[in-house]
Amino acid sequence: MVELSESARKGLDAYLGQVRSYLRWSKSLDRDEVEQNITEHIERELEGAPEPVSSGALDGVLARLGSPRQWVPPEALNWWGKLVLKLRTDSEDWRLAYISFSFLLVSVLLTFLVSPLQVVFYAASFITARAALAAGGGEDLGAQKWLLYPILLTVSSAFALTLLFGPALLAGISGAELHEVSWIRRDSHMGVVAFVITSAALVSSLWWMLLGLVFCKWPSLVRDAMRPFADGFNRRRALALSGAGLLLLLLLAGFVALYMNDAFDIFME
Amino acid sequence: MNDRFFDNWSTQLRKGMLELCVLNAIDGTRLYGYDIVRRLREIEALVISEGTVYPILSRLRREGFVQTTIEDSAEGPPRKYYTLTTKGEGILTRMNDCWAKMKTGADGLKGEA
Repeated sequence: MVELSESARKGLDAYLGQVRSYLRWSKSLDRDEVEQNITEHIERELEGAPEPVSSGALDGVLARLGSPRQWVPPEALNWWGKLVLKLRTDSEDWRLAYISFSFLLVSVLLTFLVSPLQVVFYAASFITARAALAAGGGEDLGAQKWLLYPILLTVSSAFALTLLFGPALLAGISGAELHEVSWIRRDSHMGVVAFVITSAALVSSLWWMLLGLVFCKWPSLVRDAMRPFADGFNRRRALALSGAGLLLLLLLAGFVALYMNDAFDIFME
Repeated sequence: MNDRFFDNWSTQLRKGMLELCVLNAIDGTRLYGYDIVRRLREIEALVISEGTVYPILSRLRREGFVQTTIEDSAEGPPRKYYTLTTKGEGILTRMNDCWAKMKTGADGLKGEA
């Protein structure tokens, strides 16, 4: 491969990323073949160009290649892809953004009427917003963000909070119930608050270590689930989550050791 | 208004012609993807996004009209060469006949007024 400048490399990665996002809607196309065709074409076009190749030179080649969308012809799209691309023909087509925001508004209005349909509209708003993101193929959404981000941010935040702290909450509730058991209360030498906090922290630390390892293996799980807010999530960040879990476990071990020591001293006195 | 009408019409025409041009480009020879694109680039009226050629080649291969062979290249990575199959030669003959009849017919209409 010809040597590309930093900005040209980013431009090519962005183009390939957009092509890949459209390829997700096709089962019949060979992804490797498409990428190989693109890189081979670029390689041949830039033969003899001064290296590292500038982003300007690469942009010219990409412009002649055409939109990333055309790599997936309409007949190769699945039904969902066809529907989405009909509703968002280009970056200036705001229909999906309007539909998503309308669904969100309806779901908010239904909250006041306490209607179970609220959940349906909420889900529809999220699905439509994700479809708009996918149809954009990773391009900058511009002002459409104002219509799409409210639902995406809400769902992504709820998802992240539940994933990170859900088990701790359950552990805390279970801890409060466990503390009622007489032998646990007696042997732990802890008050109910300390026991609940310890239980929640213990479960959190183990859970974060496990999550970090899983996401280290499959970082795209986080990127896909929380698009576009976690696009920069990578293995290093997954390991940082595991590290945070380990640190919490060590702090907890220290805290419990100190607590038990004090409790032991009080017990001996 | 006239420009938009012409643009739409010529876009449809080019879409229809592209497969014929691709098949004619590799008729009797073997070319790899980039060479096919370069040959089509020379046809001024065809004005296409170059990336549209590759999906067409893939489709023609799936239909059995062209076949590919991968060969090492001294100038870079291995290249995928395209050649017409017997089935491809058959369909190309029919397509060229059809196009010739259409063109003759359309040209004939011009003088009838």
